[in-house]
This record gives sequence, structure tokens and C-alpha cells, in this order.
Amino acid sequence: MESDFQPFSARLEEGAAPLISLRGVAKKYRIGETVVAALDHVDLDVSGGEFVVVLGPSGCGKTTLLNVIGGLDSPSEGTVVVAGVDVSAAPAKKLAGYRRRTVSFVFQSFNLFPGLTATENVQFAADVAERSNPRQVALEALKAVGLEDRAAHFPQQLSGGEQQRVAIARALASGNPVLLADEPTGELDFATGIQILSLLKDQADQGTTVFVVTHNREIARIADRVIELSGGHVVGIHRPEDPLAPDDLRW
Amino acid sequence: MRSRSSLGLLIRWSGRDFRQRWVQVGALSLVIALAVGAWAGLGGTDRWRRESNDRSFAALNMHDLRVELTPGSFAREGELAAVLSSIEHAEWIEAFEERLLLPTQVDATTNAEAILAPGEILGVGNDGEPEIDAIEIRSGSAMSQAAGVLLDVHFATQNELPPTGQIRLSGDVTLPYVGHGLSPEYFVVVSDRGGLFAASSYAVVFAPLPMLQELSGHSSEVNQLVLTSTVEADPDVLADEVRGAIGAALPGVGFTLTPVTEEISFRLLYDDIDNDQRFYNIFAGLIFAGATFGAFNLARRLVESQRRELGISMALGVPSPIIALRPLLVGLQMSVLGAVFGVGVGLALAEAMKSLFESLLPLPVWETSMNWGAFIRAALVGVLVPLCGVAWPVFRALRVTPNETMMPPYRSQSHRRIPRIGRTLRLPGSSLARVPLRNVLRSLQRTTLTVLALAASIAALVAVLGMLDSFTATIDQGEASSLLGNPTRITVDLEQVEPVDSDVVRQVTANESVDEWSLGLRLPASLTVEGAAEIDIALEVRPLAAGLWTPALDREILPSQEPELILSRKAMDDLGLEVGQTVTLRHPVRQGPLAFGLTETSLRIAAIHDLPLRSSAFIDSEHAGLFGLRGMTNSIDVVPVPSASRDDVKRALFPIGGVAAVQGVAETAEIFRELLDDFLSFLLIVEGATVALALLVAFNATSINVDERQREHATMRAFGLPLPKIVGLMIAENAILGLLGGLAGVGVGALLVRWIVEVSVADTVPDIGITATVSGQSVLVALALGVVTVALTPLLSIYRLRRTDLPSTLRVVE
Repeated sequence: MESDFQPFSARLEEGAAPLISLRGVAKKYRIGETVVAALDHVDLDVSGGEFVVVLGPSGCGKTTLLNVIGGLDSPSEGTVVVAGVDVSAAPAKKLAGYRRRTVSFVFQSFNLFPGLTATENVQFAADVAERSNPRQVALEALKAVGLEDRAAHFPQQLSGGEQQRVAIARALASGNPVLLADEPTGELDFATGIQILSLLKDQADQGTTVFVVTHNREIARIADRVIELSGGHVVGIHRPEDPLAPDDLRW
Repeated sequence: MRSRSSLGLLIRWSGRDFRQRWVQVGALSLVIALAVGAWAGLGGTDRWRRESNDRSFAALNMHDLRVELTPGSFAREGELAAVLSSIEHAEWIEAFEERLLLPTQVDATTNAEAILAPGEILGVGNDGEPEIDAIEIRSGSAMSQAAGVLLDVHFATQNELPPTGQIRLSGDVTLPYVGHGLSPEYFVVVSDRGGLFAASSYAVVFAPLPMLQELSGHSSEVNQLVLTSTVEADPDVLADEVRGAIGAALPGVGFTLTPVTEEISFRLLYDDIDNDQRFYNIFAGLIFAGATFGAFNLARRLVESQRRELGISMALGVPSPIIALRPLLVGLQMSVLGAVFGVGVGLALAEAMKSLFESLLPLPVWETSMNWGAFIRAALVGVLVPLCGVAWPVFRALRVTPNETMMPPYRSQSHRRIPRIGRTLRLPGSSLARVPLRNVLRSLQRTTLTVLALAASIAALVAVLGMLDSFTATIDQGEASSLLGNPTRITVDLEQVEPVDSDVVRQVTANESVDEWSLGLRLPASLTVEGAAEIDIALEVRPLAAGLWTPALDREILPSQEPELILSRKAMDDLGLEVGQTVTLRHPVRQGPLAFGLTETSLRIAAIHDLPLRSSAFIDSEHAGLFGLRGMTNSIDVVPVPSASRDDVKRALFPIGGVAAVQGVAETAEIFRELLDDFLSFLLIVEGATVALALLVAFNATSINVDERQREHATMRAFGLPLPKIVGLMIAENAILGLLGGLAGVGVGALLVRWIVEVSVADTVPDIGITATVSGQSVLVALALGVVTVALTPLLSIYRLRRTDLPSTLRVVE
């Protein structure tokens, strides 16, 4: 059977416009009389296939940035354009379509469906993204994360690391060009964390734009680009000159 | 946590729990309220109905004993009364009255409608109210020779007759009526053809005795005697003495003695109470069971959602009883609210039942009240059920280590167990298509309790629908059988037996509205065999080979030299007889022009007919001599000419003196259908309660699902699944639950119908052979109601789903 599972790199062209573009993005919350700015006039361009690590302390706006890019939250000001879609002004129906075809998520607490097997969890994303041969896509995604022998297990029967790998397989199965990972190693031990980061890095190498939000500065050493946030502001953007391989990390 | 302030904190905390989950707690309270209310409202009708009957019969001074001469026999006025002074215990007799009861037809046609009904006219009192079996004036004024007669309130009300007006009786006699009255022996109107609750189609007229004697040509004659006795009287001894004295005073005249306990109006009202109560108890029990399963399940799930917080309290060293207090307080809130709402539900149900009974049986006294004893008992169970539902998961949570209690599901040992069927079942379709069934299989215990709750409520609905189906199927069968060959057949009953060449017979058969006719006899009789209770029958003596209609039989019969009986299947079963065996027939024998005696004859049973009425029995008119009635008739079958309707025939035959009733054969079925329509009110009550229960159980289950699966739904939306599709998945899951509950409910309901019909109804209505039936339509209605009601409840959660804060929900770390 011909597989529909393929890395996004095949669909990128050199010298193309930024895949993700944020201009003057702000996100403000009102808590009683106080207005809190989770993001404050953020400008950012990210190309296809980049492995981006967003760093910063708790409450600095990392997750908000991810949610705004992912279309889970809308900015109070500014524009967010991803793969040509103006996410900031899109109505709910269009946002659902955007999430179906452009972005995929990996959550800190996995958020797998307990009623579905590992394969079904992964196939879910392929089904929703309306990919052909969704079951084959799911099995190959599971194989890619090394879980083909756990395909028929339910989430309750898997370890934390295995569950996060299923979550990554699910994100891969959607075939979307942007993968957003919020603290993907936060719940995991060191060795499993390294495994997960390797998988994410592999995806970036194959052309998927990967955003990893973390407060673990060590992880920044494997990034193509590091964005540092503080108090909702971008306080630094830099590219490590000689990124490490995930296996070389220690924390 | 031992200080008073800590306790205060827990109470405040449980208050916050209540505010946070007030919709679920409120809905659960309503589930409990339905259970408690249904038990109290439906569970106590026997007490107030019995009290109402006692007071109603006492208020109108119902007779204790009635003497009735065989139809066609009369005594001189004073003759029956005089006999009473000769009995040994004459002092036991408190009061007595002689009366005259005659069959008649009543034309109460109004400008709006033609109303022609068979009936009877009862002559009582000299010129005012009778003392025994008094008549309560419901509208208009009291009867008198000068003013006019009274109409029975049932007939008048059902036919919407004004309080005063005019009626015509057989023989073209026009009389003014001055009001509507209610007499205790007609609390339940039963036609002489055995029709129960024949309120709209059987007219009873009350007239002063001298007036009726004069009108009917029975001057100074009576045919009934009623008496009341003192409290010291022994009813059996008194009846024996009266029987002996009348037998001696009127030799050769047949008569029957009916004690009050055998009066059909009295018997139906009291016998019905226990049987009806059994019936209501079934429904109350089913609603209670459904609510119990629902409340237990939902209370349990409410607490399970707090399991993590329980673990935190354990980890902080809070003593177990204190930890248990907070969820138990939530359980108590549900219970107390449920009991409070239950008072309202119970009162509403009691009121609905009261209205139903009042419309069916307009007794002079209705003492209805809520059964507070039943309410308190039900409320206690209603309090205990949610408390147990709360206590069980609390107990389970406190039994394990704090760590295990706090653990997220994917780590907890207790949550790793997946039902075997859930593990091994291979499902077709996309992952999305599998979600509903996978969710159903995730927790079989939870699914089972929800399905049981739904099944109990749907079973109650199926039981009511099935009972209506059973009655309807029986009526349809009887109607089809009666109309066989001659669907327009009309039966003309005469006031008394007449020679076949008499004027009245000639006038009927020669009437221009009549096309074909055949003559027969209709006689009251009874059947006995050793070891079985006596059965009253209406014996039809008709030309079986050449008549206008012959009942469909289970075998071919040949003309016989000896008289042979044809009985109903029900009569055969009740008597324990087979075709070919003999039975003793107690029947009238004519001993003079207007006198009948009773005798017993052993007869062979030749065949079984297919009419459902137990009392229907037939014998060939070749054997009319057995009754001393060769060449006589009192019942004529006629078929109208093609241009005449049933009403045309009734109008044409009405003026003929001696005609007691003209009734289309199809009318019996129509009367029963009207009766069933009255019970639709009860169906609506049960339907409302069951749908409300199913809706509440489903709503609460869905509402808790929405809470529990908040993250799953948020994840689905994060992957771009539109909200309507998520709601669609929930609807599909609920539809599966509804279908499972519906199927189980239909199964249990069908068994209940069988039990009710074969046990309970067989006691209450022994005269009809009813076959338990649940129609396909009823099954579909119950399934559709269950599935649709349950399936659509997720629509009520759309607002909550839409308002879910996706980022926060997805960020929750366990």
C-alpha cells in the first residue's frame, strides 16, 4: 500500500516567505480592575522546517504565544499569519479548519483519548485532517516513534514516555507543517525526555516547523533558533552557533 | 481539622461545591424527587380511594341486600315488603323499599347530536327522594311526579346534556327531566349487556315509583326490594331468611338476592382498589428503581470527579471521617432537595390521579390526600440512595494510599483495568466513528447503571402502552368476530319475551328500515362445575345454522338432538373444562306468562367460540324448549336496508312499544374504545414521569461526561474537530445508551405486561379473555422516546462546551 505519510519538507520551497509571521501581537487579560499583558507587541518571523525553542520563566507568555500561533487563542492586538492564513482575524469555523490542516499539538500532559487505543489516538488526527489511508498513516507514525508493538494498547496501559510518543505520533499523523509542543518533556524523566526531543528534532530536520515551549534552558542548545520571553516581551532571539544533538544534552 | 472552624470550612466548601455544580445537583435532586413523589403520589391511592368509597356509599345510604325478581316477573306492591316482617330476625332490618326497574330506550337527542341509547328506568320513592340508595342531585332539582324525572349524571355528563330538558322513552313516551342525579348502585354504570363503565352509552333514568308504574302499565307492581340492616345483622343469615320467606310467599317465581358486596358497582370500586394499587405500585416501583439507579450512578460520578482532592486531603493527614464529610454533605444536599421537590411531585401526581378518578368516577365524596407515610418511607430511601452513591466512591478512595487516590487515571492501578470487551472488540470505521462505542465500553459498571436507570423508566412506559395494546387487540378481535359476515348487524332487545308472531316482533321485522332478520333469545344464566367458582353468562339462544350471524368456532359442529353449549375460551379455562365435557347450566325456565323459575341442567360443551367475553355463550334455538320458550323471542338480529344507517334503524324502531334496546353490534367495541380513551390520561401521567426521568438521567450523565471529558473535547477541538461534530459524537454515545436502555426496557416491559394481564387484570376484569400484547408500534414509540430523549440531551450542553477555555483546559497538568 502506498503511504500518505511523508515529512513536510517535501512541500517546502527554498527562499519562500516566512511560514509564521507575527506583527505587533498583544494578548491582554482583565483581572478585576487590572489589565495583564501576557504578550506585549511581539514581532516574529519563522521559516518552514525551523526548530524553535521558546524560553522563559513561568508566566512570561510562552504558552500564550503558542496558543495564539495555534489558533487556540486570539490576540487582543496585532496579526498572526501562518501559512498564508490570518489566524488573528479568523472566525471560529475557519480556525477549526486551520487547526485541522496547518498546526498540530503536543501537550505536556499528553491529552490522549483514554477510550481509544494508541493506533486509534493517532489515526484520530489523520481522520480529522482528512488524510487518505488514515490507518496506514497512523501505523507508520507509530513506527516512526518506535511504538509499533504498542499499537493496540490503551493510554492507561502505557508509560508516561510512551504516551508522549503516541502524542507526537498523533501530531505527525496530521501531516501539518507546524508542530506546537508545550512543555513536552515536563512530565517525563531525563532519558524519556531526550527520546522525545530527538523525535521532535527529527521532525524539524524533515521540514516540519517545530515550536517547543520550555523553561529548561538546556533544551535551547538543540534549537535552530531560541526566542526568550519575559513579561510578555521578546527579550532576545538568537541562533545557537553549533546546536547540540539531543543525545548530548544533560540536566 | 478538629476545630469547629475546620468544620465550618468544610460546610462552606460543600456550599461552594453546590454552587459550582448546582445544575447537576439540582437535576439529581429532581431525579430523587420523581422517585419519592411517584412513590408517594401513586403508592397511596388505595387508602384514599377506600376512604372515599366508604364515605360515598354511606352518604347515599347504599342498600345492604337487594331482591330482584327474574326479568319478566312482577309482584304486587307491598307483597315483597310484607314478607320481611315474617322472618326470624326482622329486627335486623333497618329500612326497606320496593322498586320497579324496567329496561327502556332513551332518546335524549339534542339540537347538536342524535343520542339514542338503551338503558333502564328505576322507579323509587313515592314522590321524592328514596331513603335507601338516595340520589344526589348534581345539577337541576329533585324529581317529582309533577316536575319530572332525573337522568343519571354519567350519561348526562358524557353526552353533555343540559340540567333540564326532555327525553323520550320506548313506546314514544316523552318525559321532562329536571336534573342530573347520582345513586350509589350506579357509581359505576354497567349495562345489562355487561359493558363496564358504560357511562355514555347506557342511560339510567330515575322516576318516582307511582309515575313509572303508571307509565309502564305495571300499576301497583314492583320487581325489586332493597333493604338496609342494622350493625348487629349477620348478612348471610339475613339473606337466607329473606330467601326462604320470599320463596314461600311467591312460589314459582324466580328471584335473585344480591348482597351489597356482590353489587357490581360496589365490587368494582373496592376490588379495583387493590388491583389498581398493585398496578400503580409497579409503575411507582419502576420509576423508583430507575431513579435509584440514576441517582446512585450520578452521585458516585460526582464524587469520583473529586477523587484527586480527596487524595490531597489524605496526603495532608486529614482524618478519614472529616474527608468523607464534604462529599457526604453534597449527597445530603441532593437528598434534602430531592425530598423537598418530592413533596411537590407527589402532590402534583396525587392531584393528577384525583382528577383522573373524578372524571372516571364522580363519587359524592373524594377524600384525596398525599400519602405522607409512603412519602416519608420513600424520602428515607431517597435520602439513603444518593448518600450510598456518595459513600461508596469515598470509601473506595479512602481505602487505598493517598498517592493512589491522587494519581491521574493513566497511572492509577484502579483505572488501568479496561473491560475485556473494550480491549478485545475490533470496531470498523474511522477513529471518530469508534469514539461513541469506545466511551460506552470504557466503564461497564457506569454504563450498566445508566442503562438500568433508563430501562426502568422505559419499562414503565412499555407496560402502559402494552396494556392498552392488549385491550385494543382484544377489542379488535371481538369486533372482527362480532361483525363477521354482517358488519351492519343490529341487535334489538325486547322488554320481555314475546311470541314470535306478536305485534312487537312483527313491527320490528316488518319495519321498512329492516332488510333481514332472525329471532333469538337472550337469557341470564350461570355455569358451575365442581371445584370452580360459578360464572355468570349471557346465554344466546339463536339459530346457529340459519341465523344472520354465527360465532366463529374452533371446530365444526353438527346439529344435535341434545342441547349443547358453545362457550368462550376464557370460560373454559376458568372452569377447567375441555370440549366434550359437561357443565351445569343454571338457567331460567318460563312457568307462566310473566313468571320464571330457575333450574339446573347438565349440558355437553360442543365447541369454543372466539369472542373474548367470558359471559358469551350460545345454544341452538332448536333447544329453546329447554327454557320453556319455544316459539318465543326477546332478541332480534336485524340488518338494515342498504339506504338506512344504524341511527335510522334506532329512530325507526324507537316508537315501537316493547322494544328495550336497539344497539349496533359494533357499538360494544366503540364503548370499550371510549373507555380506553379515558385511561389515556393515566398514560400521559406515566409518559410524563418516565420521559422526565429519562431526560434527567441522560442530562446528568451527559453533564458529568462533559465535565469529565473536558480535556478530551478540548483536545479534539485543538486538532480542528468542529464543535458540532463533538456534539454529534456525544449524541451517538447517548443514542447507544438510549438504545440499550430502550431494548432492556422493552424486554422488561413486555414481561410486565404479561404479568399484569395474566395476573392482575385477570382478577379485576375476569369477564374478558385478554391476551398480553405489545404492538410493534408501542415498541417503536418506547424505543424512539428513549433513544431520542436520551440522544438529544447533549444539545443542552452546547453552551458549556462552547464556553470551554481551550488553552486552560489543555494546560491542566495531572
